[in-house]
Amino acid sequence: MALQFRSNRRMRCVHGQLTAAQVNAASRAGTVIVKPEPGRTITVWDGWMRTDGITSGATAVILTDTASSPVTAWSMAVGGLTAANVARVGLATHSTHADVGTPLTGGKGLRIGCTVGDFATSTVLDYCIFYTVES
Amino acid sequence: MATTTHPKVHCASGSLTLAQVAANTLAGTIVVDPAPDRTITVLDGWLRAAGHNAAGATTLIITDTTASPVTIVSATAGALLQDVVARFGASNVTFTAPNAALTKGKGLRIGCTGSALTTSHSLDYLIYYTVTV
Repeated sequence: MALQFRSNRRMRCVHGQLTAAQVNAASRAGTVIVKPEPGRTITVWDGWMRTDGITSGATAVILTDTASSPVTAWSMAVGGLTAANVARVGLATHSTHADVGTPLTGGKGLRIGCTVGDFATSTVLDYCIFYTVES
Repeated sequence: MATTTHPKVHCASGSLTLAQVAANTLAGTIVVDPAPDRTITVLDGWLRAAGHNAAGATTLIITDTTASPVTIVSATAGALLQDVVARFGASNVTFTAPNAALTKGKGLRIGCTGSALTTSHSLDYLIYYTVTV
């Protein structure tokens, strides 16, 4: 989907830290970091993740919306998550970001989880996600 | 933990001369003024040397404006190449305190350590941050 031209959008940001248990919660669907709001549509534009150790177990850490069939805005293969290094959207080899810049499911929030196996070895995940919200 | 407040992202951007980076005995120049009762959290950003690769200083630092400042970003002079964007967290651009709330009521400044920044003509910067009350 081509990016639509709009200007003067107010950029928002959610940032914080999740424990491994929070990333692995809900059968690896993870933990909600932005609550759903009826009538609001989120578009993720940029961001980074960082762990406190070499990450193993999971195939990727994923940023999805909270729909029952979630859209993945961004995923970072665990090979890109090495101790204390900032892994950005667009990191070569490890970042998959086809839906960065695409409006996610209307009325849904954002969550961070993982795929295939549990997030392990690292104990925490720092994150910073830039996004816009439109009605 | 989950938020519905959608915090606004603020941005400080500009260019400092070498004299401004080395001002105040290398403590540097304020790029975000302190505001009482406001707390800044730095989210992301980049630095770029203009005119020539950076030299002279040991590191270029972004700190808060407390008397014993907290260093948020520390970039070696060697990481600041002419016209190359050096992002926070990249090699030799240590992002020490990402997502950490800084000292309440304090601003941000850019300075250097070791000795004055030389050879570059100026330093471009872009800092994304949030402000909470």
